[in-house]
Amino acid sequence: MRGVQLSEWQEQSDEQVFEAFRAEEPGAYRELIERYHDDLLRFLTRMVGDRAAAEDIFQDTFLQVHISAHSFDSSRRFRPWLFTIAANKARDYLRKKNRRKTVELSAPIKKSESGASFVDLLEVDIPSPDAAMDLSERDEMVQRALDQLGPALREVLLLAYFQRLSYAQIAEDLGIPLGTVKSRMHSAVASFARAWQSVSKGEKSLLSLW
Amino acid sequence: MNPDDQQPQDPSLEVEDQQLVDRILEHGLDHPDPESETESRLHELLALLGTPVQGESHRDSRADMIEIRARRIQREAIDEARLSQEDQVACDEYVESGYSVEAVQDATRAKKLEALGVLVASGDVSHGSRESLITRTLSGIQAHIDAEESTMKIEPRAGFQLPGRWADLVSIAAMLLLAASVIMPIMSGMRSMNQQGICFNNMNQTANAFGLYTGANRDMLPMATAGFGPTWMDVGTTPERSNSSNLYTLIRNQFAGLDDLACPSNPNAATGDADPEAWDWNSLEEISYSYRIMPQGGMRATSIDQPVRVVLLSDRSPVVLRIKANQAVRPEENSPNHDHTGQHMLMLDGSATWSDSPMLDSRDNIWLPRPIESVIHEARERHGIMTGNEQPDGPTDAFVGP
Repeated sequence: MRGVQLSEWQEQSDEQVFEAFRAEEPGAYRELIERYHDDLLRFLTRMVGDRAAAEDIFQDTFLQVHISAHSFDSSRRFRPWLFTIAANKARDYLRKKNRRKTVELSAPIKKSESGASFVDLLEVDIPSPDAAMDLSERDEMVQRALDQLGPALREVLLLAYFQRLSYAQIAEDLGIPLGTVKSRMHSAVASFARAWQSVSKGEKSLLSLW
Repeated sequence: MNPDDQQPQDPSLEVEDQQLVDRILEHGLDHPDPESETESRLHELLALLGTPVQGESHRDSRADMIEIRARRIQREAIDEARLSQEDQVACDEYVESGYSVEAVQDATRAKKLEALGVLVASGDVSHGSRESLITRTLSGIQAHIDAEESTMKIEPRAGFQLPGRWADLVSIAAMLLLAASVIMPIMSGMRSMNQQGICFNNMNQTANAFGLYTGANRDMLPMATAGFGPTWMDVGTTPERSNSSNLYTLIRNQFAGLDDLACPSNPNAATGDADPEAWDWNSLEEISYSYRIMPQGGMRATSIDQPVRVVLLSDRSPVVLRIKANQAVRPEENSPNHDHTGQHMLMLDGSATWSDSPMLDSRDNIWLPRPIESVIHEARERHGIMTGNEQPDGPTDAFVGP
């Protein structure tokens, strides 16, 4: 049997391609992996902060999807299911990794210099989407800022922004109460904004030395 | 709440910090003038604990307490961040409206939230090989299936006795047969994925061989002879008559092995040790990969402006196979190596890719030279596609319809 040609796959939704895979259509699973290569790899790299580990989790995720294919409810969307599996795998990885995480005494031990517990986004300098900026430098700074968040906050923030899910959908995917999702999201946005401010300030002060 | 948020997880100190703790514990807190900022911070921490620190007897537990304290303070500094009330309202409106800036009353804050999202969800993943990761993913799945398959095999035991009645055994056998009929097609599909992975690795191996060969031969691509005889399709006759003998140069000069140029999907592929006297494969069927037709006098690897667009090697051509078998040619057919689903291509710059079609982005068909492609193109342009109004050209014109 011949597989569906590339142009034909392009016209099909993720769910239709997944059904084709379950119907043993050659090339369907490869199509799904190709579709999500960039987005899922970006999500996982942001989540675990390490490209090599992200690639390992990427492979584990698609293996898990393959193993659990029979349990997928075809009336639901494929993308959230895939990302939830990926987030679970990333969480497991971080849990194992953090068991032996070292602590540097030179890390900050006081609250932020402003002493404020609250972050006001209007006071945070966040570059607009079309701002001219070196992309690799920006990537590195974003990752450094994300690394300062705890795994639970990072997960909610990434799931929200990568998947554009409502609070209720995130709560359902993570199996936690709606109120917890809201408070984690607020805290995640504030923590990331503060970390970004700190990272970008540090970058500017380094540049000023030259 | 996630338990991970509550409990510090086995913290340990950096080596330098451990040495510093040891030094302070040895000399006591009264040691004047800390030598570094870290030492100063450590003094502050110890003072916070309000515990005498001289003596070695309780050193481990105190060190643990210091680490836990440091970790807790560090976590608090980050986790304590909270959004202002106005930002919380804007955040809730933004998320619940499906991340629409227009739906948020405070547009300035909404734009901040959007910009923050763009930052978080951005990131360049183009470095590293996309195809390699996809192939490794598929191969990993196949390896898992193979492992599962092997654990399902039942070893016969000495003194084995039937656990139940014959009727039960027959029922079990029937169920196993039913399960096998469901699983086997899936297994077959996954096996072909694995073969694709091996084939892709062959491409990368051969890319290395090409690199070594050109490096040792003034950038000239492998070539066995200065020109061809009547046809370059004659495999295994004399080296001056076949294009495959050009590729075989890699094997004859030991830059690659027969296995490197054997696609696992080709049941007739030649493998194992190569005959040191051989100049070519024995037959067309043994060949797994098609090599760029070399021009008269050969080709220098560095002579092309855009090596990324030049196909050096691909899974074997279906067109040549059909011509040799006296069958009608289908120009857009994929290689038979992978069930006609597509073919690997090794480009002159050393990169390997998988393509679902033999047509390159430039609309160049890799199986055909440009003059023949032009003829096909012109014929299609002139006659167009059948509309359903055509008639037989006469009583002898065989022409059937639906």
